[in-house]
Amino acid sequence: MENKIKGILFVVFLLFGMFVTMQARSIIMTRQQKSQNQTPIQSLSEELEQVKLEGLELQETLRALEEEMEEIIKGFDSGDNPILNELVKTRRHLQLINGFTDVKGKGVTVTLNDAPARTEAYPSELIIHDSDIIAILNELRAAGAQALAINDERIIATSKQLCTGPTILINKNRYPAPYTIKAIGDPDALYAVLEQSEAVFIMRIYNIRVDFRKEEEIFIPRYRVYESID
Amino acid sequence: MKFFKVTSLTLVCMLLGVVIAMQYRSVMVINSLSVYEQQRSSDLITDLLREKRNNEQLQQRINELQKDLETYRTSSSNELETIRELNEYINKLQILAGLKTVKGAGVVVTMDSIGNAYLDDDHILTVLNELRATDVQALAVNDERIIATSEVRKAGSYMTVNGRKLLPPYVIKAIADPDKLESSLKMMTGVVETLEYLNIKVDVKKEENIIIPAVRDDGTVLRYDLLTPVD
Repeated sequence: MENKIKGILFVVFLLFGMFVTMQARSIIMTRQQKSQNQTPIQSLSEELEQVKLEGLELQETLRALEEEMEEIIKGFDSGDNPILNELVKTRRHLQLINGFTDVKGKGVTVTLNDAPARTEAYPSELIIHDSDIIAILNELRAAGAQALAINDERIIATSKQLCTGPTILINKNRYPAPYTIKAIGDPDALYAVLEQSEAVFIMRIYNIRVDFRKEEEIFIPRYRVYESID
Repeated sequence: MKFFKVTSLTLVCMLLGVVIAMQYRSVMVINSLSVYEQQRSSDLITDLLREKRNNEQLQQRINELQKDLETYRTSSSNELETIRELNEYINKLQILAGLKTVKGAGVVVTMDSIGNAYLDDDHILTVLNELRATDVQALAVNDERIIATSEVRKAGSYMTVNGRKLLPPYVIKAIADPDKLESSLKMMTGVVETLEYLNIKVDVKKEENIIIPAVRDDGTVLRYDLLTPVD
């Protein structure tokens, strides 16, 4: 009897000791893993901050250069060379067509917001997708919109609208909801096309908040030319 | 004595149980933590790469502007040089606005429905958006140039683009790096795969010489009469 109990105790203590060592080892490993993993994440986010800052500086430089350029071009305009005057006029006209000019006019603004969270539904049905934005832009274009912008990012022929998780990439920048789409054109036509739009109807079924209203004056900023235009 | 033995055994067994539970929990936490950290670092890397690319492009544009400014400054006495420079820029603007027929390497995407499959404007829009995401420089559907205000709308059995009726098959032409265009369209669970699942035939062909016509310049497509420039 005495021996049996001793035997059991021996086995139990043996197991106990093993577990204590394993636990201690695993804690040490987690620490190591953390310190190893922390560094790449930290250095990555630091690098990202750095690169973003550089980007802002570059944009600043670019803006200054663009202003200087406009100054010089304006100088040509007041000259007395008719060919130069003509060219400057064409240049201004083309910049307007390309969306390189800030513009204002009558039109509609559309605001889109994700549906209020409901636990029972699939989350992907409650948020706004790139396809929703594309559909609305398409309706507005069909109704004769002449200038378009999403969250003040001017839309040009090659602008992309991409879903990247909960945010949408427009031109080169990421934006979270809500989205404000501005369109300059005939306000009545733009309003009517949205009212009858199948895309808007479907979005409303999913409780996505879609609001649009006519405006007397909308300001749409110019496309910020980031890339080389060759 | 017997009581003492039983209690000590019970205590040790209880402790053992608690330790096992702790060990198990810590292993689970470690696993979920490492998955989360991996995901986060891959997110960071994508962001980083994108920002870096944006900065490169910004730098390129800055260099370009600086060069142009230099020419204007040094040629302030020489009007011919200024005119040449202005003309060059105007030429670029015309290409960007779609006022000029352009050619270059790219892909030709042909879309048609198989049998009774329903080919919707959405499908064409998705393909266009995917192409734009690959930094495309010129786009056309059945030779209708796509500009900032071009719509693609289903109307019965045909599509309207720039207010003109187009019949299937729809041929989308895009000028940009052909390899990049093809791989972005054909990636796993990408656009082509999704559309083929919907019984829409999508044929992607790389071509060296694609010609994309200028936008119709009859005043119906390019309209800007409601826009007032702001200084």
